[in-house]
Amino acid sequence: MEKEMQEIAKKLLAEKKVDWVIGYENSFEPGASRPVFMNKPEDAVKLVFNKSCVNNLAVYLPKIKKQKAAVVAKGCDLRSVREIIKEHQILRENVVIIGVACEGVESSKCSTCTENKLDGVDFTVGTVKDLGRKEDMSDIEKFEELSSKEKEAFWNKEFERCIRCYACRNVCPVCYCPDCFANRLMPEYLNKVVNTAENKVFQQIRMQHVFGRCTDCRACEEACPVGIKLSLLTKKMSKDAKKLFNYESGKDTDSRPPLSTFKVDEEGIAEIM
Amino acid sequence: MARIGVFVCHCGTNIAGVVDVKRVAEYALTLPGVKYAIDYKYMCSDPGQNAIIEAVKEHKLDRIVVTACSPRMHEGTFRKAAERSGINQYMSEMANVREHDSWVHSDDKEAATLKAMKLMEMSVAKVRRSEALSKMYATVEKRALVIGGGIAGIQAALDIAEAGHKVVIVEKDPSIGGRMAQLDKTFPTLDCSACILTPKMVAASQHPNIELRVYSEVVEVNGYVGNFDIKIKKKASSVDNKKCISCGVCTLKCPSKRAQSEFDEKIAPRKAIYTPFPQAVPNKPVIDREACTFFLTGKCRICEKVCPTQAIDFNQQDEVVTEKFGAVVLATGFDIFDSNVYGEYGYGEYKDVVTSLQFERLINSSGPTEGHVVRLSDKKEPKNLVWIQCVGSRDESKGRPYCSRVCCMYTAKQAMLMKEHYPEVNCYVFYIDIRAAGKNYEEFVQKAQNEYGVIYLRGRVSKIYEKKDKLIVRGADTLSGSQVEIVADMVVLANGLEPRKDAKSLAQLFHVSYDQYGFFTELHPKLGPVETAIAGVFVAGACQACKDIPDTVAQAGAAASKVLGLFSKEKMEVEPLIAKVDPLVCSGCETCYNVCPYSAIEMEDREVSRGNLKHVAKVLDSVCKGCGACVGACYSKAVDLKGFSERQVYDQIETVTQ
Amino acid sequence: MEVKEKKLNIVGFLCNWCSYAGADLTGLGRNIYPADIKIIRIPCTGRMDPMMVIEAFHKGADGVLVSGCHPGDCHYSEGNYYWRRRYAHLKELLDFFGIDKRRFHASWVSASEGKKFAEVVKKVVTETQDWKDSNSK
Repeated sequence: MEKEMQEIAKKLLAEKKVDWVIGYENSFEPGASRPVFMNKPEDAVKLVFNKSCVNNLAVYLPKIKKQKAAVVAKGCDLRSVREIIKEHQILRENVVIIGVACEGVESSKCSTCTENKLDGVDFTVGTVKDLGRKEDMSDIEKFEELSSKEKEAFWNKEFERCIRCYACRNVCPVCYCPDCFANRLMPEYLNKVVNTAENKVFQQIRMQHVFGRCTDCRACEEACPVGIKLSLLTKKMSKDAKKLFNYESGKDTDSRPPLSTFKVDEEGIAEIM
Repeated sequence: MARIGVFVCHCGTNIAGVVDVKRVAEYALTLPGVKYAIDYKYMCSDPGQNAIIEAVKEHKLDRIVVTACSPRMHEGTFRKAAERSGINQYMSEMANVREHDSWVHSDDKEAATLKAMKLMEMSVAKVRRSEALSKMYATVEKRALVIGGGIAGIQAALDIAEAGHKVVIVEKDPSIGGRMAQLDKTFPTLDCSACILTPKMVAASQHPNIELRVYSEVVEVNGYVGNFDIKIKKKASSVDNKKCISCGVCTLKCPSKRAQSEFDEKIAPRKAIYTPFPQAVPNKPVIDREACTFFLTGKCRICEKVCPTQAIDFNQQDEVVTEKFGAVVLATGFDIFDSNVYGEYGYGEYKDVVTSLQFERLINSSGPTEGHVVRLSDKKEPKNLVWIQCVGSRDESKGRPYCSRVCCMYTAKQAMLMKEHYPEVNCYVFYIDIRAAGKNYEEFVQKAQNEYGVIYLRGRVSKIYEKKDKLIVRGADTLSGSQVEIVADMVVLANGLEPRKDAKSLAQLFHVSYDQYGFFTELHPKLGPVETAIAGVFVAGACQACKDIPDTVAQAGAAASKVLGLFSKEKMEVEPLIAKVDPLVCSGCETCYNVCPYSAIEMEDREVSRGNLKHVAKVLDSVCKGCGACVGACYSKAVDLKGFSERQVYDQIETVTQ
Repeated sequence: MEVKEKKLNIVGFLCNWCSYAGADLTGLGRNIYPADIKIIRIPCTGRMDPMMVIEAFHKGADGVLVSGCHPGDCHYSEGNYYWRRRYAHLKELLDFFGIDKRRFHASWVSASEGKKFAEVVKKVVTETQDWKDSNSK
């Protein structure tokens, strides 16, 4: 599988079909991997794919600007790639998608993965199998049942730990804004002081911003150095997008994100008084 | 540092009677940037405005807050005052402490005063972030569109045309004339409706500045005051009007018997190819394709054969044209209330229970019976007639609490006409109250009772039922306190007025607001009776509220004068409160481009730094209407809205939550 | 002097064309409603950035009301439709974070619904108070 991937990358670079190949290479730590960016055909041998390849490489695509890049994408990452194309952060003709048949990596999302299909990729590495796994929203439903007070207490405890390193934002494929609201001063959308209340507001706004665009890829949760349970939020976003607007982000490259469109008669929304 | 002046209005006792205005002014002086604050009896008065102007000059103020009524009332007044004082007009804000405070919290003066202080403080916070904006101008297309060819539309069009401007009248029926053309005589003079209307119809059709578009409808509206782009659909009439010589042979020979005449309120048949009435303007027939034998069966074509000028064109298609207009007058008139809602009156079930408009057609000498009033059931002359007033007026239970204003008058008129034609008949009128508040109106109703012998009974009718060929009308006479039963030959329902069925969808095309019944809402109930909240769109006639002919004509003239006022300018000032994009911050995600209702956002590749082309959004200033949908949708916070900017709103939020 | 219980702090965002005008009409009709709400005028509910609601709660508002034109009646054609979507999801999101649904409201109030606006405010105040009472237990 790795060999196959390396050959594709080598050919793409050699034939100058792309300027860059974005993939995974082995890290200095045994059994670990890290993102790699290569522009020479001879580097292609570095490419690996294994259970440690958790990173969502789609996050780097908006940064290639007008150049062309090939990207290694698992089924789940592919949704982010589509989302970025949809939001005009990169042109489809400037990306070569090397889809890898994934059966799970070391991530919390994999046990309920239904997203390993590789529709619309340029190259498929490996054979996609039906994993027979099912979506599970029981944790979200359980959390929704809590009282407002209990919910607030839970999140206060989580965001007490936040150090506002913004890793969650920086690894998020759809957090590509050139100047995040959190950095701005006029108006100061977010106080720069690090405390529970401000930390929580940062995440409330970030979640609102990625609503209907987030693919629940868990990159933010994987990156969080203090282990805030962000997947609870991203799963909730996915659930609501489906329930309210019958929308799943990253399924195609041309439908409008749910907050960029409307229906005159909304079936999923309760009446407003 | 800003230098803000705060001016607290008493509005007589409207505000000062509830809010401690002195305390509001004193509190203002404690706020950062506020250099001057006073309270005054009437800020909007001349001395009040002069006080602002003098204070600005004397204290070198650079922005003002007027704590008074709703900005929807006086924002313009104080912006102008600001401008006269030498500061930019957008450096003025209002705090609405009358409509939103003193008038609604008169039960708690302390709370109202605290709220007034807070509302003032919010406006101070907002004005602190205001920016001077330069005026924007737009050209004015000096061509008016009048929608509706009834008396209101005709009058408005004539007045505008006489002043030298082009006017287009769009009428959905095949002829102009509207409701007034259906009427027999008019109150309180009993002069013939057609005799006074027809000359106006002809004048409109012959005026060099007026173009009639009958059998047409407005289907799409874009643009704004001075520059509306309006799509008008002309329905296929299947007749080439250029060839047609209005000889009428086609109508005469048409064999179709399917349709009922709308003009005759469906009490008489009409042909499939028809003009609504003999004096129609333009006098060109149309084919009703739903009734035409050829269109239904593919056979017939008799009209085509008999037409001496080959004017019949079965292949004609609907045509849609887009044209530019500077101003629009809505004059779509009324429908009558649906009689079926009153099941107890048996309309539809008993043939001799008729609507008021059906009666107009019956007694009209050019109507289907040539003015010979007969029962629809057996064509016999009625001897006893009963009118029931307030059918769909002043009846909360039927969802029509308002008074339709004309029914008392036309009931008296119809009863008098009946008496004039047939002195031996008995006319009874059931009424709740008589409302005859117009010039010579009360005298007219008195005359009906005293000179014509029309019998008025005060009370509601509870039931009508048929007994042999008679209608038994059972009701209360509340003056004598007894039940009455009248054996009638014919019952006329004095239907109330309501807006045309399609008024709401037309209002939505123009974004004009309407009330729960569908009447178009004027800008201000007293001071803006012909304007709407949409600049350049005016209202005339019964589409705005129930009114009679004299009031309709007066309002049409007023609407025309507003149009002329607009057309008297070469260029018109437009509000510069529009969106703007910061290209450095824009991520080029096209969300704003997707949500903009006006396509006022364009995506462009722009050089934001040397050699660095970036895909970013750009606002087309002349197209943007300042709704802010882009700002609400932008994640990058790259779009902002002048006049309701992010800094202004955030500072208001911060102030209110302090 | 009678000691009054502390009033609620409710922020109302009203669109200029319908609800703000409707609230003006409430005044014209002298329909009394609680003074706990303070109104910020916005051109259209389409201008409502969900961040503004988050900010209001963050800065300590007890309740938020956003009111605009009825569907189909937006002065700008579509603004209220976008807001309706933002509201539906934001209400869910904020509730998930522990901001009780009783604190966040949206309504459609037209320029002719003066009485309705007073009723809406009363409902918002009642529900917000209800939340506050249950929360302080």
